[in-house]
This record gives sequence, C-alpha cells and structure tokens, in this order.
Amino acid sequence: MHLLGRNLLDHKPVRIALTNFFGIGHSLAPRILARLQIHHTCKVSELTEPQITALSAYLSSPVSSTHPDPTPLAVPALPPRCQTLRRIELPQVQTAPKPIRRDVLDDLKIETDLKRSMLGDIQRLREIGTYRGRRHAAGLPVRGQSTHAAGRTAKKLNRLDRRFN
Amino acid sequence: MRPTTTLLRSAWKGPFFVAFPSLQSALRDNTPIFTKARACTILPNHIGVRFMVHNGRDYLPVTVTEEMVGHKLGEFSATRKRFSYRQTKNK
Repeated sequence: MHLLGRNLLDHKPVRIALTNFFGIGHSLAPRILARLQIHHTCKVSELTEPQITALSAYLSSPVSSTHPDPTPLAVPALPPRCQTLRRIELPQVQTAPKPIRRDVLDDLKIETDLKRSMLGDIQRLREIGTYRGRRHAAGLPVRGQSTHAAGRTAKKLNRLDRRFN
Repeated sequence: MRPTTTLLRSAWKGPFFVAFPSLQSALRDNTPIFTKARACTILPNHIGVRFMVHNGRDYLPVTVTEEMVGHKLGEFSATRKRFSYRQTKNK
C-alpha cells in the first residue's frame, strides 16, 4: 500500500511498516496506532478504509490532528436504576485543572519537516558560533568522540547541510 | 566542560552558573568581564555583556546575544587550533 510516497508492505504489521517513515521509530509507531485506535497487531493489508484515511490524515499534518474521544464507560444521562432511591447531590468541589501533559504526537515532525528543522538547529549552532556548530562545519565528531575512529562516520554525515541516510 | 545538553542535570538543581559581581557595572560601562568559568550557563541577564572567556591560554572575546542563552560560556571560546599541515624544512 502506498501512503504519502512510502510503500508499506502488505504483509507487515502496521507498527513495523510505519517505521519506513523518517522520524517514526519503534517507540512512536505503536503510540500513533493507539491514538488512532488501531490494534497494534493489525497488518497493513487488514487496515480498513477509514483507518487508512485517519492514518494519512494524521501523518500529513500531525499538528492539526485531534485527540480521540475518550470512550465513555456509561452514558452520563442514564437514569439511576432504582427510581425510589433519591440521588444525593454532592457539593461541587472546585478542583484545580489537571496540568496538560504535552504529547509528542501533537507536534510530531516527520520526513522533510523533521529534516528541515534538524538542519535549522545545526545552522543555528553555527551562526551563534558554538563549538558544536564549528565541529559540524569541520565535519568532525560533535559530541566529544575521538577523531581517530569515529571520525570517518562524522566525515560522512556531519556537515552544515547534514546528510541523512 | 561538556557542551550544553538536556537531560544531563536534574531540573530541581536549575542551571549551573557563576555569579559575576561586576555584571551590572559591566553592562553599564561595556567593559569586558574576564573569566575562567567556562562551565557557567549563559543566563538571560547576561545578554549584551562582553565576556573574555579563557580557553586555556588566553582570553577570547564573547559578546552574549539572545540566542546564546542556555548555552555555556566555554562553547564560544575554542580551545583547539585548526590543524594545518606544515612542510618540514629539514628532510
């Protein structure tokens, strides 16, 4: 199945196939599925049409995605079973609003967006003149590795226009 | 000094910094502050101050801008010379 320019193989589980995308790995893929309420053992060939639409809608713009509705355990308007019992009205207690935990999935960046932001970060380091930016420009290891052994990988990847592979 | 990274230091400790007693006067007179505190995190109230940061041999000028906040002073004062090949005279 083709999704946003990537070929997801039909026989693979969706959580594995999603790792085809640059920026989605083995920890994010199951979380995306949980958010879209797709079973984590679901295979690509077993995806239904609305699920595919939801997936492509989410991946094309994660920022504009919405949280799934929490599944209600019971309808709130359900009348009490025993009509003779009087409902006790509990006093309303003002509780502080729960701190909203930031979800990574809300502002997930994948593919070109992610690459662009990574390049922007490197460019920023270079412009303000940090050691890390300088190491990027020189094509040398950035995080204190020795240049004797790790230098070769760094020479391949570390540049101001960082190579991705 | 390691370059600034997140997730290395506990949040409750806050950033590591060194108090510069002459900070206010340095801001006013635009005189450089000579320091060896390379590990000092650049705080928002350092913006505009001229530092002379020691690199092990001499003091290199670092003028703090807004973008540098959160980095460390030592990151802007290089300790290594760029390698350049020099042909030896006596073979």
